[in-house]
Amino acid sequence: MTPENIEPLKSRHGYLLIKLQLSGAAPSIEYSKIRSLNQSFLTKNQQVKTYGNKFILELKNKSYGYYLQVLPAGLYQITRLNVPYFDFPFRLNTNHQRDWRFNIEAGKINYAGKLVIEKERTTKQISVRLLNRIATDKAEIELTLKDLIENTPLISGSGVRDDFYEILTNN
Amino acid sequence: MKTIKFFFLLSLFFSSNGFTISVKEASIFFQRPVMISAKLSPDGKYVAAIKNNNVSQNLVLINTHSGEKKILLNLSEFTQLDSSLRAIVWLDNNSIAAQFSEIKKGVDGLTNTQNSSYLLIIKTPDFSKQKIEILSVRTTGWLVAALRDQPDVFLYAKSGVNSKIYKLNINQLSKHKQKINKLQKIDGGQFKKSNEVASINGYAIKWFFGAGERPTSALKYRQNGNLALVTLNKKENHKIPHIKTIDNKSNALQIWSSDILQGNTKINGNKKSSLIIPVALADEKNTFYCLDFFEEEERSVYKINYETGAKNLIFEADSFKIIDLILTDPENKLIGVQVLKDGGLHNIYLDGNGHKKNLPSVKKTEPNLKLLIGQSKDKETQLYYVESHSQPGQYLIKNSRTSKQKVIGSLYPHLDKNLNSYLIEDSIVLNDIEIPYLLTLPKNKAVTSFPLIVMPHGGPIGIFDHRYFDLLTQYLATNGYAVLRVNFRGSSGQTKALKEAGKKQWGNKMLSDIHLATLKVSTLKEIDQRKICIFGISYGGYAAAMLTILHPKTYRCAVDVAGVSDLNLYLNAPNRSHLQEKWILEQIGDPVTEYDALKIISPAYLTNKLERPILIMHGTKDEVVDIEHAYRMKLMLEKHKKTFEWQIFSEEKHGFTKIESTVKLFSKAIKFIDDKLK
Repeated sequence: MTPENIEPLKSRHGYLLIKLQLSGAAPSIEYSKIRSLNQSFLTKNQQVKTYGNKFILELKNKSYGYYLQVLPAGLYQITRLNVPYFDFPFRLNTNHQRDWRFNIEAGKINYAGKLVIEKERTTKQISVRLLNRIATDKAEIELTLKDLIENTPLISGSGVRDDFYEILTNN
Repeated sequence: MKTIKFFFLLSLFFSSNGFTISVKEASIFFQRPVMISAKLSPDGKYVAAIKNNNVSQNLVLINTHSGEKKILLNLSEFTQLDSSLRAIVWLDNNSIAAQFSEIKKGVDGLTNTQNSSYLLIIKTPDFSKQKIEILSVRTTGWLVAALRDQPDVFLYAKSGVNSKIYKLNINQLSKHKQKINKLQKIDGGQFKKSNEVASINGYAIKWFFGAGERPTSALKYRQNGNLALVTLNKKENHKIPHIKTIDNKSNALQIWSSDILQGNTKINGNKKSSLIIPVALADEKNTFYCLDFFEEEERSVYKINYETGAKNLIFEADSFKIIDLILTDPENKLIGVQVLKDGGLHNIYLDGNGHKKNLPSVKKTEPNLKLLIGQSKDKETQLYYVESHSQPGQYLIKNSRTSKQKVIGSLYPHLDKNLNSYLIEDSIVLNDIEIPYLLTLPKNKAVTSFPLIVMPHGGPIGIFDHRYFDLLTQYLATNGYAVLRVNFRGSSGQTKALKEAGKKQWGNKMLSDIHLATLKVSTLKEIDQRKICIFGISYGGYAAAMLTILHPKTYRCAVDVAGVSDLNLYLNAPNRSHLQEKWILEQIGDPVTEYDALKIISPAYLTNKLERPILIMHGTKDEVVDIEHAYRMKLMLEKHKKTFEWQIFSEEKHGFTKIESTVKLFSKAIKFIDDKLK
């Protein structure tokens, strides 16, 4: 779903918003919900236990810009990235990595960050990262999703604790 | 008449305050370094030097007697690709070897960039007739011995499942990139059995050479991942010294298992805490000087006979990192070590019993760096590298007999003799920890007290400010500012206690060290304590923002370049290795369990308390401190309606490597500071 074609939210669902900067023929992201007690991030001793359906976000033919998806509320773990390119298949398991999590709050636009897949690669190495960019991209998001934001507040969808946006927007 | 008047006015202008005015401009001050490497020929007649030009590099030959220069190789003419030269070595009086690298773009769109590296041999048989021949070794490997006593030959190592050293003849190599026909062989077909000088099974990472540049032993990886130190069995041949070894335990002096190498081996339930590896051949058979690579910093030199098992700790620096060993030539007897101490390189010489002698104290150490980097075979001609706090690096030739010396090249020739400052080294003591600092002051008799710029270093752990040349400090001093650099706790290059005291002190004692040193310095008569600004990059940017927020009465402005504004964001940055994560948890804090404590020492959350103007600058492509840090500061400053200035560099990473960006950054910084300290 792109900002031009926005699906309405169902009950107990929120929007996942990702900014894409991708280089690759048909990248995709696999993610699953993390078993948690309605937390937006895990505490020190909590193990990552995924459950339920495995979600797949296909990013074929999407290279740059914002991407929206409706998801059930909860904490998610990106478990795998597939970044094939010509005859260089590449996949990265991110099962337990803290920097590959995002949180969906119901009724909100949850900005998970900027997903960067660099073009430059070797047969053994590729640079992929999910960057927390809520401050950097705030103005651009507000412009791109101007109409949607009027009724659906933007929040940080970071899967680790990040108080910044709440403090910024709190009067 | 008009011309005479003009020159008269101009000379008055230039000599008015003791500075050469032109270098005050960032666009003139910040230029690429020129001479970056130099090597003396065995006969001492020439120096081969790598010099940067505006677009590329040149290999230049300098006559040590006349000073006459000649370009041997101009890379911009030699290749269209991005390329560089490094590691120049004289093979004999007429041939120079240089490691040459060029970057080749891969398949269009895929950009599988590859770095190709060759050993170039530059033959200069007759300098006067300019007959320069450039040959190359096309087979992957590295030069291991120049064999200076034997003209036209050198030893070249090639590692693989089997690793070998070959004796190559320069005259059988082809010209670089010259197409060879079917009848010709790559590198003249010299990688053959009859040219083998040494051979071992396994992947060699280091070869050790004894008297007469003869290989005696090697460190190699075996197929199972173990590292082995092996001796080479000598087998004399009437033409070539042919040495071989086989991969069995009989000739392995020592084996380190892959578990030991990775620190996974436990002794009595504890992980093994030392990894002592040979770094140089010693003066006795099967004996090596070794360093412990599991030490936090290499401080202990061991002499180990791997045949008898005799192991002696022959030197232990109290708290200084050993950078190099000083050995006699050709006996390989250890006479000293080179260490990092008080922010500088120092040679510590050992007495007959291996004890250190004459270790100078902080204030007695020589402020000028003078390193002997080469001498002729007869030891008459010597090549030195020298630098001091106000003199950028220079290469000079000295005649050891007459003691006459002359400069043959500089790192920044446009700054030579144009910088006029002096350095005060002192310290403060806090909780029994000595915090050293360096105060640079402009030499200008017309001014009684100077405005002060406090400049905390980046890092912050394991980095330090030294007493030698620092480009930025000199730029600020040239512009009329006193500059204070504090080696606050966590800094390396000083003492172990200072470095270790920095753990988890990012927003606490590190900052108080800087501030208390500032307060002390501000009482000096040379400092105008009403005019203090703080300017830092990376951690220094963080410290600048924090100290200005915390102490607005002291700091009238702040320049925050690539600074961390939210510690938890910094600690949660993606793609860190397990070891990096562990280090960060120990040194800075845990963003899961210590989130609130880290938040209250993050400037983005303290901007409501900021009373002084701040300039924020950051590179968009910064992968160390993400650009998000700058935007978090900006949004918070806007929220609280604070005064700030802002500059983003769209093509810069953390280090600001482009000259044009450096010029823009420092021009803006100095203008901002000038304006705020008026």
